[in-house]
Amino acid sequence: MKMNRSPIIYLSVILHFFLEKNIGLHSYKIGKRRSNVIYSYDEIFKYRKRVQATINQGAGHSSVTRVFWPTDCEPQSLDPSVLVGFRNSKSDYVVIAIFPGIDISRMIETLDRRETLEHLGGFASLHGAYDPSKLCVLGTLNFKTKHGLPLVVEKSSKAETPRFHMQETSTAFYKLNGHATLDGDYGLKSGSMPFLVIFYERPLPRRLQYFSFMPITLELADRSKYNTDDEDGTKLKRRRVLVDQTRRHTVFGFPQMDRDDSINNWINEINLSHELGSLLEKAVSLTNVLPAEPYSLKDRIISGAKLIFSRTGNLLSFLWSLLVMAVMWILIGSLMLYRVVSEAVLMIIEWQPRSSIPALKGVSATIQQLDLRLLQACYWPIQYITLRNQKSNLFLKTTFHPEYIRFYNSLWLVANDIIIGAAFGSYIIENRDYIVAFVDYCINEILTTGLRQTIEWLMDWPGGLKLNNELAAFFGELFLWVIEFWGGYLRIFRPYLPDLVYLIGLSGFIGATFPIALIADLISFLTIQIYCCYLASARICNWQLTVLVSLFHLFRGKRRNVLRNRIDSCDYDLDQLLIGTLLFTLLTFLLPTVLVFYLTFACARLGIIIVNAMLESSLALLNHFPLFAIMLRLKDSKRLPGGIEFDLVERSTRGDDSNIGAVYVQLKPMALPVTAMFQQYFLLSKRIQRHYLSLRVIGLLLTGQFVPIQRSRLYSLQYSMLPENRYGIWELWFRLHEFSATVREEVKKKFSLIVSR
Amino acid sequence: MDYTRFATKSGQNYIMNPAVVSRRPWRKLLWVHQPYPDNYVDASFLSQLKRNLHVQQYSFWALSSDSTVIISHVYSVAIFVCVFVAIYKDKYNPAWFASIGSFCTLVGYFAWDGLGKENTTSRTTTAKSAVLIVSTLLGLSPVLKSLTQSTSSDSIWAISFWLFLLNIFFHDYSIGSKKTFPPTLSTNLAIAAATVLASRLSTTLSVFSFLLFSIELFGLFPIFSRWLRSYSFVAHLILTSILAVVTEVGMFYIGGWWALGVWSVAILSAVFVAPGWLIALQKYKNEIQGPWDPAKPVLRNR
Repeated sequence: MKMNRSPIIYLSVILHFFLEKNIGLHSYKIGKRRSNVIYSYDEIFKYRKRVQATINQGAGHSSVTRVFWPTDCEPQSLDPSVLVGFRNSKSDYVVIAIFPGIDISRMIETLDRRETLEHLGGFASLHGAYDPSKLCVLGTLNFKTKHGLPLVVEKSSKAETPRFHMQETSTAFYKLNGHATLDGDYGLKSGSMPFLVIFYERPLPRRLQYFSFMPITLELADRSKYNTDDEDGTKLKRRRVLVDQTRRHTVFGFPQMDRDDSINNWINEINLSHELGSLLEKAVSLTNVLPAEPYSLKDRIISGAKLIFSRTGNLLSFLWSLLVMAVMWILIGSLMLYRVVSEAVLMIIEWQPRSSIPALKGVSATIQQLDLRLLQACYWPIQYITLRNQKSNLFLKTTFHPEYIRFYNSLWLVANDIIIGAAFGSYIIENRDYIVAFVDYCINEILTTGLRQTIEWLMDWPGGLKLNNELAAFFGELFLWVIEFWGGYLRIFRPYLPDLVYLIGLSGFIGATFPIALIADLISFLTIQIYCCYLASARICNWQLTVLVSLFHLFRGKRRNVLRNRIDSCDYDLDQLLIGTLLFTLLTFLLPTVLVFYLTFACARLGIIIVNAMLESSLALLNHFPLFAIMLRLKDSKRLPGGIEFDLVERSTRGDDSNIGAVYVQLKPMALPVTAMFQQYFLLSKRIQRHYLSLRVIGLLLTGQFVPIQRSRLYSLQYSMLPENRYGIWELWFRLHEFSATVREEVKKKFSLIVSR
Repeated sequence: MDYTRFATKSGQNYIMNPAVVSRRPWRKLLWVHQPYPDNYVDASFLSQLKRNLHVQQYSFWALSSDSTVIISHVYSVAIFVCVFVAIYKDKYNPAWFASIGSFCTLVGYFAWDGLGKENTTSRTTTAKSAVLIVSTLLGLSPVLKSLTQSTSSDSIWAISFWLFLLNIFFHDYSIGSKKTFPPTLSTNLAIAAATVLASRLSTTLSVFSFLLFSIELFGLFPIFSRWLRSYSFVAHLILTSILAVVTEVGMFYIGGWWALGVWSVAILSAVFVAPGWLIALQKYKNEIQGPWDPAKPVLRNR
């Protein structure tokens, strides 16, 4: 009975542990069955409730001994080996490395002489990344002799899963490790606890692999959360506050555990495991080296030759570093010059004389694109410096990795853009004559003749609709005049068309986004007359509908009470009534005429907007596509961690002296789901759907009201990779100055070296 | 009827004889616990029922004279239609109708003004609004003339027919009302119908005269006739008979003998046959009242 129940209990304990943190359980797997990916708070709360019953069953086993076991550094042979790792508590071990064929005492000696470790290359960069007092020799693998270490592992054959035992922790262990904190917990019979063995494969820091509890965010942190001015953003914020409050009141009776951060701690230790393991290996081999023999003749000759070479070498290296410094100063100077120029351009682009007048970048897609590229180029040096500074520090690797992806993604996208743009531009230039002929056809046949024919048709009872002749003639002549007027200007513009197409083709060489943006702008420019007609007819239609509504209230003997926002009955004067009714009848009979003209221009405008929206969404694809992230995902999915998952490997009920068995669980990194990479696109499409494909918009369109195009919302995607406020010129200067300090130091050092000789 | 036999909850049948089991008499109170089953109905249950309490007997002549109120409004609609037909067929100069209408309006206004009006609007205000309306009409007439040119005449006749029908239904026929203005909706419906009809006319002058006439007939005449009704019912009867004569003449000119006959039969049946029919139908009246009816709140008349 107990045998059957135990695996369930352990699994529930694992689940319990991970559910302790309210968010972050992204997936778990029991056997072959994978549960749903849980993202939202609500689902997690629901899920907690369901799991609670299972956990209550296993309440007898409140504690287990957890061992993290690196499967990739298990020794090939079955030699006795020493286990080194972190001891977080008396029942919590993270094995980070296994050293075969080494004495326990030598290993302990290596660990004791921490200063030698610190001198070993990159070890200094690990400073502060872990708690050195936790790093110790944990136990042994396949040791025949007795010792005082807590963990005893046996493995009889290569293929077999190692069996774990717990030794009574004695004072000897603490003395051996040299940090005897006699806090009294060593006397406990920890050997009676069941084992939870978690296998993991050590992530390779050289390949930028790492584990992460939360999925990595490709957007900038302050952007990815939410925009406070957005209504869904405020909703999310309110909900988060609510969830926090419910968490504080502990709705479900979970015991509060003091190791709230332990999961992040473990993941940190696992991330450090490979680096620490290889360093320790080096340290162990160094302690092996015997003290150096006294100088022989051969050695003296060699060292003398070295001294001679080093003099000229010093001079050469000084000159080289001087050259490097000169190049760097030129680079810094040109960067600063570029930054100042771009700042001036940006100020012109973003200048808004009044809040009602849109800035230049809000009017034209090309200028918007220019703005984006300038901002990106302003951000790159800062990004690069941040990356360079953090690269040396292993501890910060997990935080800088998204930055790294962002940086290279934007570089890749620009390169990609230029490659596509060159092809696209040369295609345009080669087929210039056809394109010019096509645009000519559009201007003559569609924008002038086509429109004129449509309006003439509208003037002559279109489709059997009985319109008011006089009003239709008035509208028709008005709009015909506007179209003819603009057509005249287009005829002036016509001779420059081939040059313009050539220019568009040329602009392809600075990226495919520029021809696309230019085409979008060209379409807007060529169809200004439609926009004007639309604006005028929309105004008239809206005005007429408003008047009709209020006159209809008068017709019924009612009126709108603005103060209470309701319809009141009202006694009108007789003259008001008479004139109102006359006008009401008049406007009712004139409405179809106005509506027909309005709807024609609204449809034309809608078509133009759809074409422009398609062009601008292709711009968004070219500017924001997570190209680098997808490449990383295909190449090595461990570089894009999207959480962790657990697989039940095997359960063994064979323990040592007690009946309690062990559960073996495989810890795996989960790759970031593709949907998470395209999250911004989903958000954007949802937003567009809500703003443009709703009944409200159709209602606005039918009543002739202005449908706002919120460009800033549409472009939020484009800017999601950039910080909210661009770094100032001084900021860039300071960063560059600081960055160049190392080179300057080197030059000074070498110079003093030469001078001293 | 045997009210004493019923089934208990346990399913036993037993006879409850009032002579054998003496109990308190049943009372019609829902909240009192009584020794009677839930579905018990006492013999005294319907004792307070009353029938035809508020039915009053009509007198034929009173009904018949009251029906002239409706008839007089129908007459004005009929006169209006006649005038339209006359103008539409170019039989008469439209300015004549406008002049006659304006003359009658002036006469009516001075009678109303002289014989004791109740409202407070001054003469200058009235004159101002008159000038305003006339000038608006002058301005809108050319637009109205071409308003429904592209619409076929049949739809216009149908629209105006429905508008007049609604106007007759919504008209305020109350006697002795203190309201100075007729209900808004009926006036508006009539004006809308007049506008729609006016748009069929061919010259600007005819549109203007016709609309002026219609405003006088539907905007001002109801005020006058209501005032006259409350002032003296005999005067109202005299006015109605004048209207009747005018309508009959108009009908004769527009439709000939045949239209005149049909119209006279319809009016006579409305005045004399319909009241008699109503009185004959009174014997089928069956109203039930009792103490279970919701109480009628008595409002103090302020």
